[in-house]
Amino acid sequence: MKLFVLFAIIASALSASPGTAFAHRVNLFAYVEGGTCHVEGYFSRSRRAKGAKVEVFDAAGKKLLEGKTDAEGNFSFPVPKGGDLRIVLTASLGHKNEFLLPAAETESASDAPPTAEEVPSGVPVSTGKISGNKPPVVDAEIIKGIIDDVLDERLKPVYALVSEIEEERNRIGAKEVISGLGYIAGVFGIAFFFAARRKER
Amino acid sequence: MHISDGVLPLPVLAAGWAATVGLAAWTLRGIEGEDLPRTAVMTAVFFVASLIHVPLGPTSVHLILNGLVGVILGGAAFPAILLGLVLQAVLFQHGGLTTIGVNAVMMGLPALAVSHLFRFGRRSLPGRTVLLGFFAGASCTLLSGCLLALFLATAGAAFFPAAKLALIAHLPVMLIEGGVTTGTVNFLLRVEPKLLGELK
Repeated sequence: MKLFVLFAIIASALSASPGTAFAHRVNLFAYVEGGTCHVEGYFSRSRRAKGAKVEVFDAAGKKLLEGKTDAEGNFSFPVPKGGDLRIVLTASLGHKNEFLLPAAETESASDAPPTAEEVPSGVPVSTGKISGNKPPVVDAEIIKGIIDDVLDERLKPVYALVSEIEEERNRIGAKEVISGLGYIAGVFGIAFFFAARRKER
Repeated sequence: MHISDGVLPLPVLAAGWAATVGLAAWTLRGIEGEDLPRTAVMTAVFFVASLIHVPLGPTSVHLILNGLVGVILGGAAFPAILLGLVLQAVLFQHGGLTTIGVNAVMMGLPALAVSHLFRFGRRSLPGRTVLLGFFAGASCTLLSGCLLALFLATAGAAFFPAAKLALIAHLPVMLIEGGVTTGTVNFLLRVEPKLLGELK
């Protein structure tokens, strides 16, 4: 009965704390957008990892660059080159986590053509009007760059959504808590078995 | 206050495991059959305490309640904290698997120290259990913070800045731990003093 009361106290304390409080370890998420890699570090949805050290390693384990997250827990860097990237985030007091950015993502970024703003001014850009007999000169590279720009803009909400889903996935829910309590009950059940057997002898 | 994988050098991790195995073997021998129910309950309390977040300080801080576990369980606090840490590491990814040894030392050793201090205090200062409970809870957090700074110092962090950060981050936790510990202990002393063990 007393056990039951204590469990009830624990359960009510847990249900009283808001869901966002269910996080302690540091998490990070990274994505590439137009040649720039964005890293987000957070403890929970509302608590970002401010001023945490970010280190970026290549596939061979060589450190490429390092930096610190800003007040929002974000850090951005230009994608160095193709290949897997290992991003390690070290927050204060022994909190650490890492994120593997697959080569497929980084390569598409480093091969990216120049964006519309980067196009040299000498290259004629089609205005849509056909002047004289000459057909407009439209470089495939330039079109690719424009499409990339537009896509990045359009996909922004999708990136935000993906990072939100990732946060949701990392949250600790009732499932983990209940299974942990179940394990504790099981371990002590076994302990009781041995204690009872010792008593019998 | 859980150290993650890959922060500490290998010899420190190995030493942590060795100390944990030794302490667990030593404390497990002292557990009697009738200690098991309260040990189970306190393991559960410790296991869920780390989910209760204190939204203060520059880093992520949560309740630990190792002081409360120590005061109530005495020697059995160490295996209780060890089991709680294993489950937290596996289910919540709080701290790492390789660091269970150092984390158990960091939280379990102060719990053992505080349980002895509390018992000693009850004998020499009877009637001061409110103060004693608060002191037990708060000092246990303080001791764990010092051990954390010590461990981080072995990883190359300068001891004093790391200790200062650990202290500042855990100051609000210390106060809350002290309050929770003294509240629970004094409630139990009034309702069920046997739970805290007989005074010899």
